[in-house]
Amino acid sequence: MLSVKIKGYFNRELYVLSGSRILTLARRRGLIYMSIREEVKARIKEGRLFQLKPLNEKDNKRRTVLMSAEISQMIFGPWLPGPMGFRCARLRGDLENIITAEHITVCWDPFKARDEQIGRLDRVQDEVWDLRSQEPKPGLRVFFRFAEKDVFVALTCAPRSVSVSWLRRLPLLDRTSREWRDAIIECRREWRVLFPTYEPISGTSVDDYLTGGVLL
Amino acid sequence: MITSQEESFFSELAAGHSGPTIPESKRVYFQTRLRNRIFNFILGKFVVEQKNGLTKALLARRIGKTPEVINRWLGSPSNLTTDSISDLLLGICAGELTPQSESLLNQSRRNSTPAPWIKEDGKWQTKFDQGKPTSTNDTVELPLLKMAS
Repeated sequence: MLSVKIKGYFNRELYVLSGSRILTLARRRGLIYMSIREEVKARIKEGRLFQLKPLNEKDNKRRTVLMSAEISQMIFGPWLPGPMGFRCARLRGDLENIITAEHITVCWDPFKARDEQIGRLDRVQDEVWDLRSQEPKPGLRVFFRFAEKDVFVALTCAPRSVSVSWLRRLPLLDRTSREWRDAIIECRREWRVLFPTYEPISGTSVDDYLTGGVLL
Repeated sequence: MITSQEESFFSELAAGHSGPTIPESKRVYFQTRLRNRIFNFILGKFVVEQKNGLTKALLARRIGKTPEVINRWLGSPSNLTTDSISDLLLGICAGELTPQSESLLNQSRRNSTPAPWIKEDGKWQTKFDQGKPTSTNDTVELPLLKMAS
């Protein structure tokens, strides 16, 4: 009986028997690879997910940033005068940079971060990442996952070291703190609310997740 | 096509020299953009020169900075002084910055979203190939839904 090796995304291989139901599904391609996209489009249509577009139309767009309602409320403004407005304006600039930058510095190993722009968090199998919006103080961390390569889904935000009145979460503080653990759990939960049946992508190298990732 | 959000965002800029004060939060947004652009420019130069043997340690020595400073400058965007920008470009590529600017007004789109499957009208299309195995243990390449580069 013919045995077929399916070489799918991320070079993962699966051997299935010809004529099997799994192979039938795989050959329909769209049923497997398109479904997360259908979910994304549905969430956008429902007003539960928002696509960030740079305000300057001339910007090159290399990646996609999708945002939860929580993040979008910070990003879309209007920004009121004062610390919250300034901080959210900075954050928008940093998120837009994810869309437009040719290179993005990446911390691949948890707990090894220095000043990289994004990083994988522990446990790596949770596929939760954070964006470091460090200046000005207070530093913020935006927790996100990848729906596809170059498709960031920003879900939650927390202050890094000091409390922020307009963020409902406590500062993350030490990397082994309960707040860090809770932030990762909450990110996963928010993902599950949006995409009940789909996991974020998983990879073995930076290039599996984004174009232009730089390990310094 | 300029959206109403963009028109509103640029309204103070479009008002001319006698227009209203540009809100500080908007100025902060553009300050962030400039920091990111400069950082991206410098990082791009460094990435190129890495292929020619440049390391952070070598760069640090060349411009008289500690490795920690170089890590910070190349790790993420920051409020670099013009002196630091100059030092970095000298050390990375024996170059200097040649500033130029472009108007934020009267914009036209440069390229479409990198994820064209997200369309505002909710419709989208994919391409299919009907790859079939040709022999035992043959590899079936499932074509990916490619996003615009």
